[in-house]
Amino acid sequence: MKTTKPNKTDFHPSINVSVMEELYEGDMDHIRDMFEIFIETIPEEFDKLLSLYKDQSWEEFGRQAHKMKPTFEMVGRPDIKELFLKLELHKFDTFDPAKIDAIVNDLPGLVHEAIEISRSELQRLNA
Amino acid sequence: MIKCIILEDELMAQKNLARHCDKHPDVELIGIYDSAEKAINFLKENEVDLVFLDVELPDVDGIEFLETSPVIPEVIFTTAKKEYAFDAFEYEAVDFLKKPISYGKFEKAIDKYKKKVNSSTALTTGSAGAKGEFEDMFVKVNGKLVRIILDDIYFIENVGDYVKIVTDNGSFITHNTIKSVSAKLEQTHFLKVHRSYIVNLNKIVDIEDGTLLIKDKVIPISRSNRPQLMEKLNLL
Repeated sequence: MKTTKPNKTDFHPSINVSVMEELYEGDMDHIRDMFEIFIETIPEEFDKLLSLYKDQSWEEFGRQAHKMKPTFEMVGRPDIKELFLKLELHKFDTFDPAKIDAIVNDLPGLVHEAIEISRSELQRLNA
Repeated sequence: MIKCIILEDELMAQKNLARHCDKHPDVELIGIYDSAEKAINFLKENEVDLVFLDVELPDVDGIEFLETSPVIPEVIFTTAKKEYAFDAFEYEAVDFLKKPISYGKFEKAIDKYKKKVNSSTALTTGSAGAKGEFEDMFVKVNGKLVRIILDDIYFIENVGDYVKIVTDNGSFITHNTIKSVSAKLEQTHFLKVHRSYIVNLNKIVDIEDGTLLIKDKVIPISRSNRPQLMEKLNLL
């Protein structure tokens, strides 16, 4: 297996390098695979989340947020993972639709950004 | 081929493992489940060698799954947290993999599975009786070698990749095949009467048409095995 040490400075500034180091220990082939899976998986799953939000199916919405949550950490975005955690845990807090709305409003931009960054990282790693 | 299922609710972890399974020449992925209930239903109906089991599932967690599933193949624990390593040890899992799982770690875990299965020579010859037959045998059950007296056995039944040994003292499930158990018991008073059953000839209550009765269990006799059975019986 071709394995090279990632160059920290090569990652996009939004990507948390320490998380990537901790998760992959320098296995660039694995990082490449995970970016690829992320790009393939997230758009459809995010659409499902938005649709559950629109339908106010809160139980399923929480489950979908739980399913999606760790994927962001896998591509070095623990910041987005934290937002999904808040969505997942909403049922345990005093339910406040305004808080959910605020997070969900910001998400499309952030998720789109994470996908685009992953795409460019994948291109860079494949070059 | 090692028949595997993935029990995992996280999307990327599912896909990552599925890719590794596709890539490995000895592994066949036959199911992906995101809940323990669905996986248990599948296990009841299908032969599975190995489960990649996420410890943190939303409905029933991985540990509860192991405690409630009636059929438990070998297990490789997958988790994002190292704290569960102790559980993996306690439940004699093949391996414990921290997510995200690289292909290298996956390959090593499969090698561990192969070693574990090959080393669990489930049936070990016990002591010999006056006629040269074994009087007992040792069976690997939940990591322990348990002595079973041959005369206590009623019958042995195929259960997927396992065999269930039904005795006076309860049933024992061990990873083995009817074929190899049958070969092991060739010189004894046991006979394979059907592709899924080996019976203790001394425990047969009656034989009627294509079946025989042992204890309270009706066991089918296959046409091909019937002549050998009749030959071995002490008929008046």
